[in-house]
Amino acid sequence: MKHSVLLVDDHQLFRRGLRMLINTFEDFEVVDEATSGDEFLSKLGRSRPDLVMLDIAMPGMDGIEAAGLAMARYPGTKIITISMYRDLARCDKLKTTGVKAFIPKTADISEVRTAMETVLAGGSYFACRQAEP
Amino acid sequence: MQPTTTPADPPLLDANKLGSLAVIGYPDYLELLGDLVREVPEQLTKLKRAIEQQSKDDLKTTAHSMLGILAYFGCLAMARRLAALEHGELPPASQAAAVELDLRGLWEASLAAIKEWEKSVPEFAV
Repeated sequence: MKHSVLLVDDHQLFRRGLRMLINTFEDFEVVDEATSGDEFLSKLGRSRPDLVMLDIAMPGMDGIEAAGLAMARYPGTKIITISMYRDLARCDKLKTTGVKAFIPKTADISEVRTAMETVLAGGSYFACRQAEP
Repeated sequence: MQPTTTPADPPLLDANKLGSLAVIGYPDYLELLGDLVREVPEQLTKLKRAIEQQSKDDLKTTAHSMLGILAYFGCLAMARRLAALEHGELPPASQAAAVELDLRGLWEASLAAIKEWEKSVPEFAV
């Protein structure tokens, strides 16, 4: 049985691309999508995916706020956050919400898969580094 | 028009990231690329308008939106240029056309590099 994944990103083309990529993994399947933090929380209230891939920069409620609310309302939710920017300060902020992972939008297929498998197994994966000058 | 790059600039594309795209299969890849080719020029027009109207918010939103999908396609140089626009000072309105022209040139060069990369992908051979 495949592990279910919920994608949350306001950019349709990025969601489609990530869905196509994840659906090539034999043991994962994207079962739903959300385009905003509010929609994400609403969908999480109705069904619990095994994993959530959550964009940080979204209009309205951003991913950090949405992640915090999701973890407060539904502890145990396994969230992998995604962003263009991978500075340490951002990661430190994310860790306070209880999310288990961060990957950049530039992550290649092996990094996406590693993060998903690690989080599913109960671990953490934060691909952060010092901010670039 | 040639993009304004120098030998010290980063490469146009991230080969590793592009390699990941090959996994999704040629039909899906073509579909995504087609959407990207349609979307980027529209977004560049929005970007130009944001600078003309001196709207920092619109510029940041548009630049950030483009960044994500261009990063997905491994368009490193475009992503860096857009990140600089997102986080830098708002260019004066008089520079709007020049900024757009520069980005369009960089996009055309990136697209040509993607097309060249496609030829090297065994899974894409038809």
